[in-house]
Amino acid sequence: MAFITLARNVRVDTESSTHSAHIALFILRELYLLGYWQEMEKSTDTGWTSASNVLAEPSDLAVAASTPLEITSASTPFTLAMEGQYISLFASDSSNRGLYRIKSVLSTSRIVVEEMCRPDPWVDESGISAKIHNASKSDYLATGAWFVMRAPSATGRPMEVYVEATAADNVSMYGYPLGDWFDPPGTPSTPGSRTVTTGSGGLVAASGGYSYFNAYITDPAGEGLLHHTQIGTPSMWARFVAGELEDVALGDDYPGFVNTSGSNYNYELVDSDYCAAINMLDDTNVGTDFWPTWMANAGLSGFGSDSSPHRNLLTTRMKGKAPFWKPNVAAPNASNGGYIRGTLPYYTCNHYQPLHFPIDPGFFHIRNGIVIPRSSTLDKTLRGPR
Amino acid sequence: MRHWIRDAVVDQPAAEGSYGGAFFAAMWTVYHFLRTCGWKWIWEDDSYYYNLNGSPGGVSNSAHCPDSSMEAVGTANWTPDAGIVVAKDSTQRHMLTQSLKITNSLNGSSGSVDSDNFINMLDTYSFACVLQYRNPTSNTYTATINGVSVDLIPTAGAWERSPVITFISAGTTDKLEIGCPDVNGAVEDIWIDSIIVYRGWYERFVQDEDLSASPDGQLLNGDEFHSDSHSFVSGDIGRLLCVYDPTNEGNSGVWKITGLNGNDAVLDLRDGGSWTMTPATGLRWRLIDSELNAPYYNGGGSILAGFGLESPHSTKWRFFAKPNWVGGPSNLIMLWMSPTDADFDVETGYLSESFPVTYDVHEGKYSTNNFAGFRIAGDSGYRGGSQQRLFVVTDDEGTYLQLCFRPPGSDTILAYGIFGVSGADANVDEDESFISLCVVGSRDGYSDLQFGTSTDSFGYQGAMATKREFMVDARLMMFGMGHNNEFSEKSYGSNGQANPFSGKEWTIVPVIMRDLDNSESQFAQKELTTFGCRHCRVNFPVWSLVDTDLLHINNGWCMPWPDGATPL
Repeated sequence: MAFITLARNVRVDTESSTHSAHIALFILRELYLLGYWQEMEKSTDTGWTSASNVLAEPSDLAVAASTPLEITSASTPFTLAMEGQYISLFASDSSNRGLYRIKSVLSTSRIVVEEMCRPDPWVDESGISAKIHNASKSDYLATGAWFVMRAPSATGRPMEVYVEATAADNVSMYGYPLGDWFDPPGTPSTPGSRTVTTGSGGLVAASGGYSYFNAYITDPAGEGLLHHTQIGTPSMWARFVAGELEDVALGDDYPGFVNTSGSNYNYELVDSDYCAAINMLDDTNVGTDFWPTWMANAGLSGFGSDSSPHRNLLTTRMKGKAPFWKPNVAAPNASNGGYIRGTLPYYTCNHYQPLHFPIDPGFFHIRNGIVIPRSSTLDKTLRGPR
Repeated sequence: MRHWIRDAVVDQPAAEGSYGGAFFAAMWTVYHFLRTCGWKWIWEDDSYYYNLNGSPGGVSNSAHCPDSSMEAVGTANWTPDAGIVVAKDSTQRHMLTQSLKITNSLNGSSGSVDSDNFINMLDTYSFACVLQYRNPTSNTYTATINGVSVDLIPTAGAWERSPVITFISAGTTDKLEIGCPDVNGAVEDIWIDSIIVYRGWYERFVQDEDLSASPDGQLLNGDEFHSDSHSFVSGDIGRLLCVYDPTNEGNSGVWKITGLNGNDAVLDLRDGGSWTMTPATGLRWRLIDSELNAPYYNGGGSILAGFGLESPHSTKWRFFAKPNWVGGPSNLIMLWMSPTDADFDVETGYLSESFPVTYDVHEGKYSTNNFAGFRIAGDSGYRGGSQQRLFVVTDDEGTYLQLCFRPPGSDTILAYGIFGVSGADANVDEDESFISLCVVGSRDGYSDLQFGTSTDSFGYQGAMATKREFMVDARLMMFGMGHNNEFSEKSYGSNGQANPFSGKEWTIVPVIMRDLDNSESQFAQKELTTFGCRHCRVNFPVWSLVDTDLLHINNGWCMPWPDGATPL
C-alpha cells in the first residue's frame, strides 16, 4: 500500500477549547480535499470561504527541487499577513501535495514553508493551484458546521464521511459506507434513510494553545483512507480516521469505517480499556461498533495483566527492529457478531516505543502503539509534546 | 510437505489385560511413525530400575551399565587385562565431559576391558546395547555381551555408533567386554562413551523394508499396500503399517490393515468420504503390532519405557518422551526437548543444561518427572483404556511435531502438544524460533487443549529458544477485543459465527509471546505459521473441517488436515 503524506508537523496556534473544533473542522476539510476526496455537501457557513479566512487562491504556483522550501508565483499573490498562516498546495505530484505552514514571505512572488512540514524535497512542478488560509481563525466556523466527503476510490460506490463540529471542542464523524448521502446519486436523500455508522467523536482542545497536525492518505486509486492526527499539549492526542478495512471476505463490499480517539484522547488503537470503536455497518447495514483485537495472555496471569503483553511488546532486539502489524477487526460478541471482518489499514506496535520516533525506515511510532508510514527516510520526525 | 497420522486407532498391548495402556501404545506408535519418517534413534530407557525396586525416590536412572555415561570420576567400574590401560579423557568425548580411553599395548595375545556387572537386569529377557566409540586405529575392536559380539571397526577418528548388541540377560552376571586385538607391542588408543543398555521396547516391529536396499513400499488401487520384500498374510490383519511417502501428501501415515488382496495389505483409510491414496512406489514402511510389542505394565512390566529421537531437521532438535514415573503408573507422558543436538546423559536421558533445553527456562526449571514439567495427558481411566485415536502432524524436514491423542468415545478429553521450529520471520531467526507448547502440570482426565487460567491450560507455560544457552518462558496468546478484556471475548465467545458476508469460516494464525528476560515487560511475538495450526471460533463443532485443509479439534484450535480427506 502506498501512502501520501498530506501534512506533517503543521503547527496551529490559539486553539483554546473555545474554538478548537472550529479550527480542526476547517483543517480537516482541507485535508480531505488535498486527499482527493470529493466534497458532496457542506453546511452554510461564511467561515468556509470568507476573505478574512481564505487569503488567496492562486493557480500559478511553482516549486523546484533546487529550492527545497520555496514556493513561487508570477501573479504576486503573497503578502506579509500570510506569514504563520497555511497553504493547501493542490499539486499534481503527490510529493508536493499537502498542507504547509508558511514560515516567511520573501516577496509577493516568493514564500518559504517551514522545514519541519516539508517531508520530501520538492519535485519540479508549476501551475499548481493553492488555497492560502488562516484555518478560519478570523471568522470561526460555527458550532454545528459540517461537511460530507466522498472517498476517491475509482471503483464501486465509495464511502462517504460526515464531519461536524458538534461542540466548540469536539469533532464528530459518521461514516456512510454505502455512499448514499445522495441517493439516488445527485439527489439529496432523506437523512433518516441514509445508512450511517454509529457516531465517533473526539475532543480536539489543546489547553496549551497549539497543536501539530499530521495526516496521510493511502493511494487514491485505492480506498483513500485518510488518517489525521492532532498532537497538542499537554495531553492531547486526537485521531480521526476514515477508510475501509483490508483483507475482508469476498462479498463484503462496504467495509468503510470511521474511528476517532474518543472523548478522552484515547489514542491507543488496541487495548483493553482505552481504545475507541471501529464504527461500521454490519452485514444487515446496521451501524455497529466493531473492535480492533489485541494479543492477550491466554492464561490471564503470569505475564502481567491481561493486556500487558500487547502493551509491552518489544522486538526480540536480535534484528534491531520493532514489530508492528495490522490488527484484526472483530464484530462484537453479540447475536449478529462474533466474527473477524478484516484488518485495519494501519498499524500498531509496542506501546512503549519512543514517542514520535522512527521504528523502521518506513514507519513512525507516534504514541501508544500507533504507527504511521513515513514518506521517506528524509521525512521529518514528528513534533509534539514529549 | 506435511505428513500425518490421520486417526490411527491404536490398541493396548494384549498383555495389559485390564490395565489399559493404549495411551502409551499410542506414543509407541508415534515413535515408529517418526522413525519411518527418518527420525534418528538416540536413546531408550526401560525403567526396569523403577519396576524392580519400587519407588526410585523421584530419580530416573534405569541405566544398567555402571558408569555408562563415563561421567564418574576414575575408572573403578572398568577392569582391563594386563597390557591395557584405561583412563578417563576429557579431550575426546561423544557427549558431556569425558570418555573412557583404552590404551592397548597387547603383545602376543588379545585381551579385553570389562565393565562392572550390569545392574537391575531381568534374567532371560532380551536386552539391547548401543555404545559410541572412536577408533582411529587400523584394527577392529569388538563389543561383546554374553557371547554376542559386534565389531567396532576403524572410524578414521570420528565418533561412531556401534551396531546393536542384542543379548539375553543372564541376570546378575551380564557385562560389557571391549575386545582388544593383539597389537604386537605397539601402542594405540580407542575411546568409548555413552553406553545405552535397555530392554528394547521401542525398536521392535514385525517387519520393515530391507534397509540395505531401496525402499520397496508401493501404494496401489486406492487403499492397498504392496512390498516386494514382504508378503502380507492373515496374521498381519489388525496390525498397523507406518508409511512414509515423500512425494504425495496424504499418503504417509499409520494405517491399520483390515484385509488382504493376494499378498498385498488392504488399509483402513479412516475417511468418511471418498479419500483414496495416490499411487506411489519406493516408499519407506514399517509393520508394527501394538498389541504384541508395545511396552506394557500389567502390574510389573515396563510401560514406563521412554525414548529419545533426533529430528531430521537441520537443527537436529531432540525430542524425549517418557511416561511419568513418580507416584506409580498414570496417564502422563513427560516430554523434554532441545532445539539443537544437545548432549544428554544416557543414564537418565536428561539433556545437558549447557544447551538450551525445555526444562531449563530462564524463569526456572521444570521437572521432567514430577508432574511439573511439560507433558501430555489424556483420559485418566486406566492409562488411556484399550484404544486411542492418534492424530500426528510433521513435515519432510522434521521441522515440527504435533501430537493429539483422542480416546474413543470422547470428543474433548484430549492429549495435545506442539513442538518444533516455528520458523524465521522479520523479527526472529530460525535458531531462536523453536517452541515447546503443551501442558505443564499434573491434571489428567481433562482436555489438554483447553484455554483458561490454570497452569495446566494449553499454552499457558511454554518454552521458546533464544540465541543464548537457555530457553525462556513463552506463552500462547489469544486475541482480545478492544472493549473487553474478559476471557470469554477471546475467539469471540458464544456468538461466534462464520463471516456473514462470505458465509465462510474465519481463522487466525496463532501467536506465541516470549518473555525474553523474565521481566514480564519485554515480550516478543512470533506467529506459528510453520505448524499450520489456526484459531477458529470456539463454538465451531469439534472434529469438523473448518476448511478443506483445517480440522477443528476443540476450543477453537485447529490442526492442519490433508486436503480432501473427511474426518470420521
